[in-house]
Amino acid sequence: MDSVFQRLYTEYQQDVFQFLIYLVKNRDTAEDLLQEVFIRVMKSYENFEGKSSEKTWLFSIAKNVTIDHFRKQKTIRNRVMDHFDWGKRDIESSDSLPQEIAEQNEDIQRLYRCLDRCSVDQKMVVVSRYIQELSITETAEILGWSEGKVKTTQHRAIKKLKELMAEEEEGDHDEKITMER
Amino acid sequence: MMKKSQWNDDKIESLLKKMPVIESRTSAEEIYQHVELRKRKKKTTARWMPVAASLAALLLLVILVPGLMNQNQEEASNMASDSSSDSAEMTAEGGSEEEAVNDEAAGESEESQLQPSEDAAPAAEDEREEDTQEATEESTLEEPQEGFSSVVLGGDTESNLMTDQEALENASFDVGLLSEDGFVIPMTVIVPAESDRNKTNLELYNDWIASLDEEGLGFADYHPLSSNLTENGGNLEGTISEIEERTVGASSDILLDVLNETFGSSYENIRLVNEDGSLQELNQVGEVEQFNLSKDNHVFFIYQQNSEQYFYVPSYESYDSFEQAIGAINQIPNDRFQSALPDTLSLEAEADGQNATIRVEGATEDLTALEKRQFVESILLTAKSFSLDTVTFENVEQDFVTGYDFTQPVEVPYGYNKAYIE
Repeated sequence: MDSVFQRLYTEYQQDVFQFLIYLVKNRDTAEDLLQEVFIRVMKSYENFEGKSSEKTWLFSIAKNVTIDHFRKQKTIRNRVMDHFDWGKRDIESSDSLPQEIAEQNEDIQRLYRCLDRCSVDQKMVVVSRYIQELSITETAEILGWSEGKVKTTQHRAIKKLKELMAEEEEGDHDEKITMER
Repeated sequence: MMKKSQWNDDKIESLLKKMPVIESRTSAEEIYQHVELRKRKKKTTARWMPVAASLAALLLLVILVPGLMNQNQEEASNMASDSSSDSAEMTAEGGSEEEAVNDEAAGESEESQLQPSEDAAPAAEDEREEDTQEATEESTLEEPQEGFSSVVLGGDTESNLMTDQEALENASFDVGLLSEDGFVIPMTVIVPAESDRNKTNLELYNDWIASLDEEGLGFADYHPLSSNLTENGGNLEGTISEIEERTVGASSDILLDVLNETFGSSYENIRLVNEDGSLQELNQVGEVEQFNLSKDNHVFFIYQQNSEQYFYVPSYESYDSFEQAIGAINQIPNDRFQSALPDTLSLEAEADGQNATIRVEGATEDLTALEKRQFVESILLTAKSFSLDTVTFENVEQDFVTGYDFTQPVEVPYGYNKAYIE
């Protein structure tokens, strides 16, 4: 096995996978995308100029792969909406929770679901900043945004998550009352 | 009174930081294999692709021109319009279950093909207005014809698929039949009237569908769909009968799948209208200006109807390239479909021009005749779905499956699961 591949894989695969799975919410898809990330990384490694850190370079590839994936999904979804079954097949968002999430408390599970209802930009910022614990500067580099845009998107994402969490809680609460009647 | 939420920024942020680590199950080796494979394939195929694509287009024209004399025009133009879709460049390797190849390279051009028809609707509408002056021949639905029986063939020793030769000698039409458990199976029905060869798919459908004994073949009684469908070039228009019953709950998708499997090879669009010309409304979908029809770019699986009868069924998903589709040959979308790839085999696939090459790896001696047949025929149908002409099977014995010569490129079939009205 190529020593560059081995080093990059050992060092980053878990972080990259984490980034992918929190964005696409499906283990199989995330694994496929992980593979694609490393294919692209190896293809362009010799052109890596070291302008950014290796880590942000790798994550920016992961971001591109994810965006391509979402774009493709959207095309499929449009097509599906157009003449087939509007979301039952092909679309992945309604998958069951990964085991690691299902083992967590209710709040975490709820937050995981809420994350899905944020925009792709918001999700990317939240995952980079809180799950990957990257700095604002690193996140801006990865996403190719200004630091200002990272900050505003982050602010909006947290606000949205607050609303969604309250909404979900309300929903669960209402359900319980109805059940008790 | 509105209750104040317990959630503030800090709480959300600290909860986000507590999200658990989710671990990947793929190994470094597995990923490295793909990295290497992609590198290798790129080198050998990429340079040829632009040339191969234009050659393929030329070649197809040459092949199609004489064919136009015999076959209906819709069929031919449908094939032609799809001819470039297989010039996709990457190569996927099929094999283990997890091996989906995500290939973005073909994305741009593919995406343009996948545009929803709403985008195209205004232009199409204009055309339609002009076209209203043209005479459109309305085929009327005939009364059910007594005295015919319907048969499905296929098995270990006999192919279930209709060949080009059979297509030259017989008249046939496509139809999607609905299984008792709700799956749409693409069939090609051969009718007992050779003289009908020059009729269009819609004319044959209208003439013969009432004679097809769906229930006798083990399917639900679903056809005929309409009594007033008309065609104008690649466009169909008409009223789906009993549309409320056909679209109860989520069953609109069944209707649309049936329309696709019935008319997708020959027509591009269908417009569903009421008798008064207003658009028909589909439950959960609403009114849609027109629906795109397509059967292209799928991989084929096996659907076992009962202990004896099986059918080939397309994947729900469509793929960017033949290689990618073959890479998904094990990705069955539900528990009723089976992969046609035996566990002992793995594949390498590559499409070049109008031919695909499938390199078979693994032990074939313990496979049953049926397993071999299903394996070969689902690959042929997948190739057909990408408008390829032939498949070269490498590494299989000359007599791998009765009825095929594997020393030569094997022609893709003309039709789908074959049924006869006799």
